[in-house]
Amino acid sequence: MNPQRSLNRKIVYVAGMVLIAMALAQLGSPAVQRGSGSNKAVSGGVLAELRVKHNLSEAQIGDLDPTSQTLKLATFGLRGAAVNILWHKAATYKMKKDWSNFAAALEQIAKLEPHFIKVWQFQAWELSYNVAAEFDDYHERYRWILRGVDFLQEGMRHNEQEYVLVNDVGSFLGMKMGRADESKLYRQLFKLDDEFHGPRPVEQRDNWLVAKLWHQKAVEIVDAVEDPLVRLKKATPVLFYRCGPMCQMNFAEFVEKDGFFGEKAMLAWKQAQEEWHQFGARQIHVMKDVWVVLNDKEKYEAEAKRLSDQLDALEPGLRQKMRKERYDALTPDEKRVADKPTTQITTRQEGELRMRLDYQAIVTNDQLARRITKNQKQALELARQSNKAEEESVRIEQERSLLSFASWRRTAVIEQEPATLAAREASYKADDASRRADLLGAKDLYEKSFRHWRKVFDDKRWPDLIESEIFCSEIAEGIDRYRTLLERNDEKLPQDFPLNQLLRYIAKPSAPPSGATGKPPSAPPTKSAKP
Amino acid sequence: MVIENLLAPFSEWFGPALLAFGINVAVLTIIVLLGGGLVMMVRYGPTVGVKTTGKVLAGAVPDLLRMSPRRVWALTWLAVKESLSRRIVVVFFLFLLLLLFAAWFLDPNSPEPARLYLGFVLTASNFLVLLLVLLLSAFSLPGDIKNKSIYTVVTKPVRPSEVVLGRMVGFTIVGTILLGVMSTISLVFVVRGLDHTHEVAVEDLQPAETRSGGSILTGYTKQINNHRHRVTIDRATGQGVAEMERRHVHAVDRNKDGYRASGQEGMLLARVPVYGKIRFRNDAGVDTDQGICVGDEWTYRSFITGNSKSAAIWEFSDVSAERFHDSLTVEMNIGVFRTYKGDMAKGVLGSLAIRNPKTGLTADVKVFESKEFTTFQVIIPQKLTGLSPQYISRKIDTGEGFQFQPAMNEARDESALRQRNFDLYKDFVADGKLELWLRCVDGSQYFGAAQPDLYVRMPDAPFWVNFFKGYYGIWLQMLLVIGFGVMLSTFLSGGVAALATVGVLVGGFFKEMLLRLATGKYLGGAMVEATVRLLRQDNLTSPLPTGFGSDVVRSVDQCFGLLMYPLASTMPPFDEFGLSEFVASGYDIAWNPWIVVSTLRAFGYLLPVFVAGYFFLKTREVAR
Repeated sequence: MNPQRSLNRKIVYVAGMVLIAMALAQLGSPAVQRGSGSNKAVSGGVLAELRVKHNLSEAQIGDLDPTSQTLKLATFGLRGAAVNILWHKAATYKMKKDWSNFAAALEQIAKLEPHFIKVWQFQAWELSYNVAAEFDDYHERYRWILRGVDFLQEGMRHNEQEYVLVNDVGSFLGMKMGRADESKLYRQLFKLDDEFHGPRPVEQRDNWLVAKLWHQKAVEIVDAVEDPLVRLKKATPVLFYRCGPMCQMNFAEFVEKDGFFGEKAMLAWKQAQEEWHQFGARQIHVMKDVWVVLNDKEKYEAEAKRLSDQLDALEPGLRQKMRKERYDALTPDEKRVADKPTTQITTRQEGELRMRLDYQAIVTNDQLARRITKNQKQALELARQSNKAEEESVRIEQERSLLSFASWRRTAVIEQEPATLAAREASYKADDASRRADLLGAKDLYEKSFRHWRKVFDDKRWPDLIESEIFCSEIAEGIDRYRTLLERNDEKLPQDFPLNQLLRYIAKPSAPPSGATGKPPSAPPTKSAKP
Repeated sequence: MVIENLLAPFSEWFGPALLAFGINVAVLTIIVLLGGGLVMMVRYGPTVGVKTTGKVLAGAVPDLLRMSPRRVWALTWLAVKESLSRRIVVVFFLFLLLLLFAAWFLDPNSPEPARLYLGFVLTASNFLVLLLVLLLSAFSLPGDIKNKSIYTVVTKPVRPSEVVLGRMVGFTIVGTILLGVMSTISLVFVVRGLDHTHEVAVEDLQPAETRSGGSILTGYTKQINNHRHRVTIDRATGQGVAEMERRHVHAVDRNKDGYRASGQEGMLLARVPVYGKIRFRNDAGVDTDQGICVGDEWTYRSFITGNSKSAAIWEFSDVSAERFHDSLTVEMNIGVFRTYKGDMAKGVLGSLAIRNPKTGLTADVKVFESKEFTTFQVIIPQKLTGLSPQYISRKIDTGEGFQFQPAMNEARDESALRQRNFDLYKDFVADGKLELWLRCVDGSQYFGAAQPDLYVRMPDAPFWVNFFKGYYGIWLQMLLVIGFGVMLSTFLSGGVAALATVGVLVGGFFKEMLLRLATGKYLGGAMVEATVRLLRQDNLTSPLPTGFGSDVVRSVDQCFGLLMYPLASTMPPFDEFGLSEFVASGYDIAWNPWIVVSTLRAFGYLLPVFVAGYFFLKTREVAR
């Protein structure tokens, strides 16, 4: 090779290396902090500045763990491969029920991938749900549930800004302990667990109350940033904020399940009502540029109605007139379908037609405003404002329906009523008497509870309570137990059974599909096409 | 303890193993002779080829049989000195460094800390030693050949076999010394690391009464090493016990300040189990090899149905009063499968019965509540009282009908059924044999068992002896790595020999997987099929689309399998030489079969490896 060419090539190589080194220096220089407190400024490479800007540097994400760093270094860049092998090993250990090695493998995975949130979540779930279920002894089950919780807490230490792990601790303590078949046993162990609680007073050692604290902590983490929606990522905001208040509801429910009624239960429900109200009063960022306050639905509904009434008052009778015009324009066949009661609509075609006609019959505020000749400008403005209020109301209802907001709000109120508390107490005592084979005592107590329930259902403040599945399902179970008790004595439910109305409602066949009735499942209009 | 690959006792293992070894060696010799001879004949013509092959073979006989111990020792010493000059002591310091920072990696909340500690030191020693000897053995000869220092050896009157053996023995000595030091330090580390006591504060204790009216104190010890124990102290004597927690207990004694727990007991054990042979009895009362599968992915345990004729039966041999004295300590670790949860505050009920295999006299000795993943102990005394015996015949399907043992028409001692007190050895042991029957009492629930799940426990062996036995398993693995490393380095360059040895090591550890891959039994297919699945994002179980493409994929994999099978078959199963799990789980490593059979197996691999190493070196220019 020509010596000159060789030299040229070397020069090109060196130049290339220098260029790459410069680019690397520009990108990868470590961050340097200057100043302190609010004057603190960070300079360094592009990547370092980006890390600081987006809170991605190790020190900002969570505690620095020397073990984790050592392990990462020891894998010589093969961290991904090492984690894969460990994951496979963990799966094998789990299959072979080698729990010590399984837990050790999880520890190692977590040390290698301390900021991979799904690893912490998945493996904590494995420990608390899947491994715990493998044990026959409930003490061991309880112990493994807490191992999962410990694992999450370790994850939190490494990822201080990650709300998911904090929320999961709350869910594990709440749902796993409170809703398992062994919940009574778990809750007893939880109360006695000095190691877990430390100095926490015994009366606060309830799994739901402790879970609530963790959910509140998760809310604090989310609320610490300017836009919580960014931190919540794919989570549904209203469902996330619901967790804490829901724990208080569950706590109140379990106070009664543990056999405490009267003031203790009443206060628990009162607190639940208060927390639910606070939750409803929170301004929640549900999606880009959309904020809702769940309590405000009724306010917007009233506002929409007020504005709509004002609009109607500008030209009284016009809305009905327009509706009649539309009805008159229908063909005879269409009129026949529009006039039919919904229960008599049986074919799909008729159902679809009826749905279309129902929509056609609605006279919107806009349509009405455009027909108004006098003060049309004012009419259009009223229609716009009314529509806006209605839109707000619908949007809030969409969010509320995700969590049966209104139903829970009402439940918290009803449960504080003396009649409800008395009914629950009688029902609890009846179940207890039944377990003790005191059949006569149980029968009397069940009947007492049903009389109290009747009082609750007869209360005019909640006329449609009977339709609430949340509220009525447990009462229905109580009726079943009472019925079984009667059958043992060859008796039947008495004719004047106080909850006959509820039984009739439960026995009613479910509503036919929308195609048959012609009524869309979530269609806003309920008025008939008939004027 | 889970033992998935049970070894047969030496007396049962040796005959078939020797036969298999002989056949393999013969086949290998024929293949090598034919292959070598053929190559020579192709290269130099038939006459020269046959002559040369014969010459090499003829020369091999004195080379292999007339090795001089003095020369071998001289070469061994050379290998030792060479190893020392390569700073192998670095590995030792690396090990010390690992131990220093071990606490970082060990989970302080582990329910079995002893297992974790032992597992850590044994694994760390294992990998470090294997890595060291791999590098030593693979780079030694090629290095000597490269820098021509081999000529100072081969120009002396030494045989190539002595060179190979000298290297092997030399590296073995170095590795043994290193392993010896590591094991001793590890033992100290484990014993010191696990040793702890607990303070028992008087204010943490509450007075209580026992059922018999005795006065006791109960409460908890202070927390140390992330755990505490429940304590019960007899107020009269001031002595008590800190109950089982994390697989250990403490004795509690009064001192001048109050009470104090002594050092841990029960963490570092070497239980000596005597295993029986397991059979199952199905719901119809017929003997079977396996119980029911409850759908568990891991089929190690077979299950028996509750409240039925079903049972897991262990037959023990050589049972006598001289061997087991005045009681049998039976330990079990059984699986439980519930088809319904029932009362979760209680375990599933089970029973353990003893049966005389000859007369069929059977009696329950214990009804117990199950406890999974823990070792449950039942002591069967020689003098048994309050039993309600019955006669049960084993029903065996001979293929031509059922045979009963004992026969149904055989005369029975009916008076025994009215008896309540028995002598274990006299009434239930026949010709040294005794059966233990495990049954599940609760209906619709299941117990699972495998052969090692129930055993009779003998007095414990010293832990430290067992610890070194665990290291012996690592030593055997080391021996194999040295053998392969030296053999491969006789004809490959240093780097390639090291890589090839790593290949043998990895292949050996994953031998079972490789064999399954080669035979097409691996879920998701072998190399090409797995690649296709990856690209198609198919899961492991969905069938490949039918058609020509899939046929080609399978055919290519089968061709690879044909090549892979003989290779995988010849790999030594390294994991089977590892005895660490016994030590970590607290079980004695029995001399027979584990030590004896493992040793013979290791030397069974080493012998042909040594011979192959000799031939490879012999055929090289430098050794002529």
